[in-house]
Amino acid sequence: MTDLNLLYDAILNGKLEQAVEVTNQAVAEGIEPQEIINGYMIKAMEEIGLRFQNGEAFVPNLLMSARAMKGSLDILRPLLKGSNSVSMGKVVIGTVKGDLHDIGKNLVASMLEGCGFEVVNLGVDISSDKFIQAAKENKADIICMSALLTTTMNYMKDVIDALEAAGIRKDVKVMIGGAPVTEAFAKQIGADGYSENANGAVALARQLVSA
Amino acid sequence: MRVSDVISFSELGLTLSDVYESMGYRKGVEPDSQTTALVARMLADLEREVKPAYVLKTWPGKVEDHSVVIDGVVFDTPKTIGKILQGAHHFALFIITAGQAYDQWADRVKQQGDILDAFVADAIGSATVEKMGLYVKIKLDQLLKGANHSSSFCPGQYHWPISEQSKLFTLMGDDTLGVTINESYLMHPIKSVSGIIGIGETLNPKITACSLCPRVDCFRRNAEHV
Repeated sequence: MTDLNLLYDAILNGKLEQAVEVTNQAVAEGIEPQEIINGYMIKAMEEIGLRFQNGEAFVPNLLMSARAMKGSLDILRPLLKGSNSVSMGKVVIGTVKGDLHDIGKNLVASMLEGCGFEVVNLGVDISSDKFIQAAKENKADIICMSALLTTTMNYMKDVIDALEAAGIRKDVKVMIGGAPVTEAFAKQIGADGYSENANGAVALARQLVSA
Repeated sequence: MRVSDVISFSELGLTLSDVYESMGYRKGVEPDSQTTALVARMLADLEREVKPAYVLKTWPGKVEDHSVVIDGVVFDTPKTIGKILQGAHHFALFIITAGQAYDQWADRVKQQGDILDAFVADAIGSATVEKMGLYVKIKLDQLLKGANHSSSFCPGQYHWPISEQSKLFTLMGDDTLGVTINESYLMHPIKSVSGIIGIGETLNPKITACSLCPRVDCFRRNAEHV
């Protein structure tokens, strides 16, 4: 009988190979995927997130855990049947037009994916048209925008205005982040939320999809 | 006065600890063995390919009201920075870059698709230009033979609009090591820094942009808030 605590440990400690191995064993033994995900994997991600929040873990720890989580989810996703979807929601993410910084945005994408969201990562220098098209095509729950420059952060407002003009603002939540961005700025431009780090972004995304 | 050079990593003295700090680890805190091995491997890889460079030029100049004025170019420096630079009779403008080879290396790492590797590559690039900043200040100290100067200030820091970078590049002319700015004032190669240092007897080098910034919990903070 597979000890699923080993899976919890593997994800918490960012051990991809161990996570994949234990997941495969559990599947072979016929353990329900939903039980594996809810009982062990999500709990491990919550714990690493908590440690990060408390300054006991760092970005590489988050990334390694997210990588291990994704490795296990890739095995379990095809086995989920009917309404037992693993997806917490669908996120379209990108760095806004004029800005080519992608590390922070990719951290957020990776953490969201590791925590069960379906993520469509558009890349950098993304226009409002591209955000809208991707949101429509993917029936996104959330649009996530990043900017690292004071000169490009204002484009986030253009995207929100374009969502209004396209008539889909009410269908999609908007969250923003990046070094010059603040909670006050998020409110000012009409975004639904702001997070200052990747872990907070996951918590915010969960909150927005359950609202 | 103009100085420019390409610096080897051994001369630069970039350490693993510098990279750890750039990754968000507090001073004295070491990552786990998997991460330390990754950083060491990637740093060694980078050192073979990348040659950071700098160019530094000085001009006579002054502060009028709160604006720095150099060779007829008026910088819209915020009042606080203008006050700190008051008394400067010359200014050193500099551009530092990890170079095009860094961008190519970091792109290759990203294309391999591992987010942790991409994060470490980015942190190494940031640590490189930060270390170059210290190197340039030491170089300036040597050139000024003990004459006093301010800390460095960069467009984009502390309410100084990043658009002001275009004025700095105008003054530098073609002497930019191949660094360019786009319509968002983003520099290429991406790991590049440009800035200004005041030279004058009354200036205080201990007041840095970091010490002015109100983000007291920033992991990059290296000075007390003043």
